Amino acid sequence: MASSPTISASLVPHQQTGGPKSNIDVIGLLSYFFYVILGIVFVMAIGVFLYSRILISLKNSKEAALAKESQALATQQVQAAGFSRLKERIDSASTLIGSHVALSGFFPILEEILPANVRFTSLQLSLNDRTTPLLMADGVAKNYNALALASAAFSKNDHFKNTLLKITKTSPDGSVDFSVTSTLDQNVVTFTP
Amino acid sequence: MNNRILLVLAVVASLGIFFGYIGPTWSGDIASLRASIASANDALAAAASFDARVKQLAAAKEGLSTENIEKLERMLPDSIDTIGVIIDLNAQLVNSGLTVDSIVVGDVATTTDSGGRPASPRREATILINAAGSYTAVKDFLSVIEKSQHVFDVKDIKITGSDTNVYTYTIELLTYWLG
Repeated sequence: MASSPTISASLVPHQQTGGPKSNIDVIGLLSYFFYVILGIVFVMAIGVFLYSRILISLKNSKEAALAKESQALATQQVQAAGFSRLKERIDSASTLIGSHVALSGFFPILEEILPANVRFTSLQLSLNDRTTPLLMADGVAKNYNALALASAAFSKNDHFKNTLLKITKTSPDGSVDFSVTSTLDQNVVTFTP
Repeated sequence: MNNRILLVLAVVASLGIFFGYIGPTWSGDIASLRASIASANDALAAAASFDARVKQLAAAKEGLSTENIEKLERMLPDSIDTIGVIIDLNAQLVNSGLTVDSIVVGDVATTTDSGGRPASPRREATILINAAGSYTAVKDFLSVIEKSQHVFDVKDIKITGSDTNVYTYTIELLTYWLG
């Protein structure tokens, strides 16, 4: 009996030698992977180099612009100092005008309220505290009635506050020496442009 | 075998380039350059802002007439000319009809804040005037100095009368300048 060429002559089956053979080349794959990595790193290095060149160029242009600005700044600083000085002058002048003392309004008020038969022998107006000008005066009234009229006039006038009128001496001829202190309304002695 | 050597070389080259050049350059030179550029940008922005402000102020100053600026400078000069002030006041007192006994420029004062620094650039000096004359004359004098371009503020005035209608005056004035 002729045996078929496709059928093994041996009854003992051939032993399998390790299953299906692997076709994956690990070294080749790793090489491929690391060549790609090397390529990427190389491109990155070129990128970093170019980026640093761009930054150096940008820095140089900024420094040149700054040098130009600093030259202009020297002139501008002088100008700015002038403006600052002018502002200080305007602010200070504005404050001064706001509290500027003007006595031209004070004397007519005093003349208006003082009866003709009452006169001052001395008068002091102190403006140490601008908000509360203080009037201190000594005077002579022809008689008590004249002094009473003066006292009433001071009391009625809104420009005088806390008026204190004191008799200091009575003369045989009927005249009365007196002293007066009063706080003056600030508006009376404040300059109005 | 050659493949393995090339693989090792690729790994070493990758690591060497990355840690030897890219890393140090990025965190060193490039970081420093970026910081310098950012700082320069800030400085340029500040300069541009300053420039714009100066131009704005220059435009505002254009709105002030030279005449008004000169008035301000007369009102608050940069320094006090004591002799000039005395001469001007003396002339004004005489013009008003007063007889001048003395004009003395006194203390110079500076207002300070709680830290002892000047609270204002404004300085002030006291001027003490002793004069004699009529009531009308002193009213005229006070009326003139209250409108004077060089500011004088009356701090204290004392009038002493007499039977001859000639009064004696002690007038304390304040005058100012920009320190």
